[in-house]
Amino acid sequence: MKKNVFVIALFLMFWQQLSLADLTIEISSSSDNALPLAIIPFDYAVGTKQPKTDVAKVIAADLFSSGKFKVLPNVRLPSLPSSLGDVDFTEWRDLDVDNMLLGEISMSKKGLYNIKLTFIDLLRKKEVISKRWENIYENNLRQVAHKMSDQIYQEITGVRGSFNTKIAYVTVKKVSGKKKYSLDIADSDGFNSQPLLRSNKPIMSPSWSPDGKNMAYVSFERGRSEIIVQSLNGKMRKVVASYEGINGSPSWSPDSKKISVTLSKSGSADVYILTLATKKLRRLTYNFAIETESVWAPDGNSLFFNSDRRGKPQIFQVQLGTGAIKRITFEGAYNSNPAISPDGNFLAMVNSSGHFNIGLLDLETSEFNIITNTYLDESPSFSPNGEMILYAMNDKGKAKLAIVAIGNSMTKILSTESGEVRAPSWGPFID
Amino acid sequence: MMPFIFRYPISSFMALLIHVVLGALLVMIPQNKVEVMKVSLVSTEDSVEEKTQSENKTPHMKTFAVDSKQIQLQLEKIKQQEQKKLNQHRQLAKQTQAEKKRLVEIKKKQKIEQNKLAAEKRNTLNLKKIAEKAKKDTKLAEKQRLVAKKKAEEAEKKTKKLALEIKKRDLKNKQLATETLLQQEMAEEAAQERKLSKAKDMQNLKEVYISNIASTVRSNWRTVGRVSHKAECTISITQTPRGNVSSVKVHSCNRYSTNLFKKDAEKAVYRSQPLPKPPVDELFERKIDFIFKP
Repeated sequence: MKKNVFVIALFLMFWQQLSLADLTIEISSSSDNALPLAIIPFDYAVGTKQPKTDVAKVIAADLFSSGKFKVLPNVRLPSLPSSLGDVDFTEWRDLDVDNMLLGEISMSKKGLYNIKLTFIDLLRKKEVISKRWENIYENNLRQVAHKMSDQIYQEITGVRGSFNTKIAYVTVKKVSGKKKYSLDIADSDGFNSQPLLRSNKPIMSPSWSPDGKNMAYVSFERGRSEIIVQSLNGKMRKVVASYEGINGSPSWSPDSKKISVTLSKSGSADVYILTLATKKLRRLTYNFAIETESVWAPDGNSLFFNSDRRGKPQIFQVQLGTGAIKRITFEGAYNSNPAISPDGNFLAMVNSSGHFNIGLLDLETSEFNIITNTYLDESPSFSPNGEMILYAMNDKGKAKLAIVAIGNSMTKILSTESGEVRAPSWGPFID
Repeated sequence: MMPFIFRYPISSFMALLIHVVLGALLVMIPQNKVEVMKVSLVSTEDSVEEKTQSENKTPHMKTFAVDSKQIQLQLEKIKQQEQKKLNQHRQLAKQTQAEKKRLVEIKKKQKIEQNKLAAEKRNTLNLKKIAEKAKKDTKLAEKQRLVAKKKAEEAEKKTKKLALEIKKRDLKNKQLATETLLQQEMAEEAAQERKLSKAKDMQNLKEVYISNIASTVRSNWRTVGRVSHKAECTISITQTPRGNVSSVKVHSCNRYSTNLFKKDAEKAVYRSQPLPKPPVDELFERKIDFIFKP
């Protein structure tokens, strides 16, 4: 097994050079209920080398994709103030612009970038965010931009932004008639993609550990399904479940110490809990129907899973303390792929009454809404702040990813130039 | 005649009444007079009767035979008789004298009586005259009385009329006064009402003004965050007369109000600048408080 890890690591290093296949982003819809925002073109100090990354553009795209901001086009900017003192508030009020972002970029003595960003509340006429980054490599400018986006998002919505996070997904490409699979990690906007694993055999169901250190996924690299846990730093990779039959749907416990899996070693597919340190298995369901796609509730006391024990798939909840099982979904004939929101209040799933879309169930009020209008949606995954859902869908026969903002239906579609993208998983906050 | 009566029914009646009264007086006054005289006559007759009775009591004389001694006795007797006769004569004379005296007395009395009668007759005549005069006087007096009465009546009438008029006038005045008072009261009431209603109007206008501001702020409410629909705060605004906001305080919030809600409420106020003007300038308030609920 150690040998395998080594081989794959080498393989990764080799492929990384070739991987410039960032996801292409398209916005499928926009929101009316967005706050107008002016981003003044950043002020580059004399002698500053123009970086490849336009920080202002990255921030604009982040905020726009949330559906909560609309950015004034540059041609409509009435003036280009460089500080709060320069701002003529009435002209911005006339444009109905509430907020303004100012930026100064200069070179540090080390030849790196110094960035100063100021976010101005034009209504209350004050600086609400003022941040400085020093000695930033050009490659990290996007991250700086995402961090600033998170700050702005929090200032405006009261909720921590999740732009500076990572997503994992599987791409499938056909190279000379053979399918090539890749487990990739990218920024939440699809940029900076990096492969974690390349394989000629299918890779499925990647799942981030809540501590952000490891990834669990299903790999068929040895001809049958196995569950593998791999550290993101590439130092550790191990098969944790390789039982007879199905080994699938890994999901991390909130403390990152256990994973729930689907095993069919006893006949039918059932949900088990595997304690990673001891490799001890605990069987949770004992039904001859298919029980799979388990996810942990954030409090760690229960799991949601998909079962067709009633004929068609529905979501059930099992209490770890008592083993009691309760049906959760009743909307539509088909409910699968459960995902639980970080606060534990919402359950997302694939719902179907003919079309497969992502449904959102308020577990407190039982209010249910379909939140997507794409085609053949699957594998929903909440952003760590619970404000967006990343999922897989099908666009004209091609599998793509989409991110939908909960509450305003703003949808961003991520796709690859050649090939398909599927099985997304949104990573935790990066602290 | 009749048309006259009909024309002046009161006067005709009064005339008739006067005649009747006069007639009655004429009948009554002589009767009284006769009665008085009769009484006087009766008393005279009584006294005469008494005197007649005393005349009828006068004594009758007798004759007798007498001897020596007897003669003496007789003489004596005769002497005595003589004496007696003499005495009788004397007495008679005395009596005659007395009678004469009495007769004179009677005559005197009769004369007095006659005088008296004459006097009485005169008196009667006088009385008659007096009566006539009295009658005349009465008539005159009556006339005068009637005139006076009429005058009095007229006066009374006049007085009454006057009184009535005064009363009427007073009443009118009173009514007028009452009316005036009423009007005044009404006016005052109206003024008060106007004042009140103006105050009320002003109050209403003020409420409208403040609700205008509140609804403007509400219409400028924007949030992209998750805010409970139960969130509620009091917003205190300080503004300039042009409706520019100098300060906003969001306070007294209920438990559903998050910091984001408070911040967005404050922004909604700034976004509402210039705040709506009051409908009347005097209603302008530098400090405005209202409860805000998105």
